[in-house]
Amino acid sequence: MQNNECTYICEQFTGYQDDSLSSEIKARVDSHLAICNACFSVFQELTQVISQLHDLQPISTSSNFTNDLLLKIHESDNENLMQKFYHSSYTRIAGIAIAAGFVVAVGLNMWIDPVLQGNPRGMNTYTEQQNAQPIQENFLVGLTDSITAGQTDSLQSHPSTINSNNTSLQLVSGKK
Amino acid sequence: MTDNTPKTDEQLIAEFQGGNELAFVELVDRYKDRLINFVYRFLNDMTDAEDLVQETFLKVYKKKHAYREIAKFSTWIYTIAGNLARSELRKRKRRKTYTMSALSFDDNEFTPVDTDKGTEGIVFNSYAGEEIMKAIDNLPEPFKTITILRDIQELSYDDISTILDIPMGTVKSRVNRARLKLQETLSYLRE
Repeated sequence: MQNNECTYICEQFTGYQDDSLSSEIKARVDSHLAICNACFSVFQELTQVISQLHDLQPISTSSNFTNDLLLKIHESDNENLMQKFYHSSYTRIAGIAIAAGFVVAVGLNMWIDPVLQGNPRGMNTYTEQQNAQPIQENFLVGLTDSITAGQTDSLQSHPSTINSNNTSLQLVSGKK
Repeated sequence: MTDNTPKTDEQLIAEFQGGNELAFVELVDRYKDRLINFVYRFLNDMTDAEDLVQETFLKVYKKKHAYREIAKFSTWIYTIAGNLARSELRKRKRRKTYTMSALSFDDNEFTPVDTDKGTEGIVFNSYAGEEIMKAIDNLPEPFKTITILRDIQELSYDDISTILDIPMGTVKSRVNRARLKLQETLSYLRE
């Protein structure tokens, strides 16, 4: 670019090639190209470049392109269905409910089952047929049956009486 | 009496939005080669270019309802493909994969482009074509995009303005500067 006029003319080349310049500017470009070898040379090379760009060998996709694409779409649809299933709020709620139910079931089982050792609460449901664990001597000395009333012994009777199934359990303190 | 007039792209996408998947296949057939020519000029790799074009169509498939008839379908799909191509170029740069475009001429030894890529459909029938491809690849990204869209894909200024979201005046100015830059690059290569 030799001067400002050359710079201006080169900026008009695209419009000149598109035939979109006003008649005045087109005439100005024509006049300049007639007298400026440098700009004329650039203009010629530019025209050649555009021609080469237009003549570039077109490229085609492979023969399996469409089939491969449809396969990808099908796989993508299946993935989406699975993702929707796993991420569905209903699925999550159902999962939480099932887990909670399982925990409750295990807890209840542990609560109710009297066979499990170390579960003091199981002792409350212990029936009279089962052997009770030994209790401190101060509290339980003997079990009197209401049917065999009047049995006496050296022990003093205590006013506290526990009645269970027509059987009296007298709490007495033993005297030694 | 049947109407043999081919459906417009806009009619096909409307049918696809309505659930007609054959309309989508028709659009794929119409645009796959145009898009591969567009994308390949960015990536210079046929396998990557095909993957990217497939990704473009996947996006069209999944986001079909995002298309509104205020713009041409062609500008919409070119916008998607162009954005994917530019993202891929940025990823490559971050991976520090030095391509010809990442190095300046001072750093590059000029070697002919390897046309044997083991893929289909690429034939450079003249050395001039290789020269042009190298010159395009060495353009700065905005000029590269505009050259591909205007001088290879031969899209209108209006379409290019919509795809790139730049004013018409900027499009014309950039086209001119890109061509001059190409001419300068080719002169350098021929020295």
